[in-house]
Amino acid sequence: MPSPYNLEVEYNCGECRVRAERLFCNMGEPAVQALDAVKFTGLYPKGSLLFVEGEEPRGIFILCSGRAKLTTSSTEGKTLIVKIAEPGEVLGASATILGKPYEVSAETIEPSQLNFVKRDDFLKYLNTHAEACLHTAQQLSEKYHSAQREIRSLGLSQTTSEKLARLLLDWCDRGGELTAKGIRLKVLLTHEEIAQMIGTTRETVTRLLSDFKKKKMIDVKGSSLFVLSRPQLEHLVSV
Amino acid sequence: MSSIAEMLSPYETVTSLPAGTVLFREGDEADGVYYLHSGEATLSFSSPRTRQARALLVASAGEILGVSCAVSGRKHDCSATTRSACVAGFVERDRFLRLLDEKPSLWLTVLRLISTNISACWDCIRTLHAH
Repeated sequence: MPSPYNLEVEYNCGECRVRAERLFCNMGEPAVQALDAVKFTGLYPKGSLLFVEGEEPRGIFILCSGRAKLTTSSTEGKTLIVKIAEPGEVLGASATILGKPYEVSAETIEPSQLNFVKRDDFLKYLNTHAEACLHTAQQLSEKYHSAQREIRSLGLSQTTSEKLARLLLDWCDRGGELTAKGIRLKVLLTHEEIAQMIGTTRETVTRLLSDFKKKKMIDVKGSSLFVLSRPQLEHLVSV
Repeated sequence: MSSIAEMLSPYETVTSLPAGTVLFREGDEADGVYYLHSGEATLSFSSPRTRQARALLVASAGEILGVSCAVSGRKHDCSATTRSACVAGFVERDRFLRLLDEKPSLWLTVLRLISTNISACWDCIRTLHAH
């Protein structure tokens, strides 16, 4: 059956085929049924703003399919991408739990299915399902460790080329596909967005990627980036 | 925060620690949680290649360290070292998890603790990006 944005839509969490692979959703039937009763399924095109930094928390979004970028503003007012959220992640949970404004903005970077749960419903759900608390804690722990990885990268990297190399290596570890040509990365981010991830300018990212290509460390074909020499990238990461 | 501190108190081993004491090291298995009764601890990150370390976050009295790893079972991503004389209570991971089983109402406090830690990380990221 045709669906918006050609997404394979799943309206019923109980029947979701990938539920067992998802850190948050992989819960027992009672918790999943209760979640089904309070969630609203939405389909969003690329570029949809789910919530904005500073906005009062309305609730959580469970990213069923697609991807979203989480951004914040530096103390100098620059936009920073702090994370690319993948399917299975829960967005806005920490602000919703603390009852404080969202600390990041979330925007889809490809057509996505998201299940929204209103704040009051989510807090009631947590109060009545300890299993959901455990899975939320695991999800938050992932976010915490991801934020710590970001701190490590920003705090220890000395140069911009090192930060870019570190980012590419991170992508290799978390979603790279081994091919005969090298490690294939599906890059949906613009050079501007990559710049926002490592705190530099679009021009610098373009120049560095070109430099990496000249040195045969990477190759770019459309939206695919191939890491041809992982050891060379690792050598750049001096710290 | 105080409710969890009260709940932990019957099970914690309280120790006075001089400045410079390592509570846990980056890469260590999560063995339990540390409640800082007084004093401060730094959280530092090191490079896997050069072992160069940099202290980037500070935990103060009233904070509980290691909760996220205790819940997720992940190894510690950073090292925690007391930066002043501290009094810290330690509760073993198994005991902490049993406590959560016995008192599910504590879960929300745990979720708030981890959420607060995430918030501190994002503050740190905003500052690091500005420099």
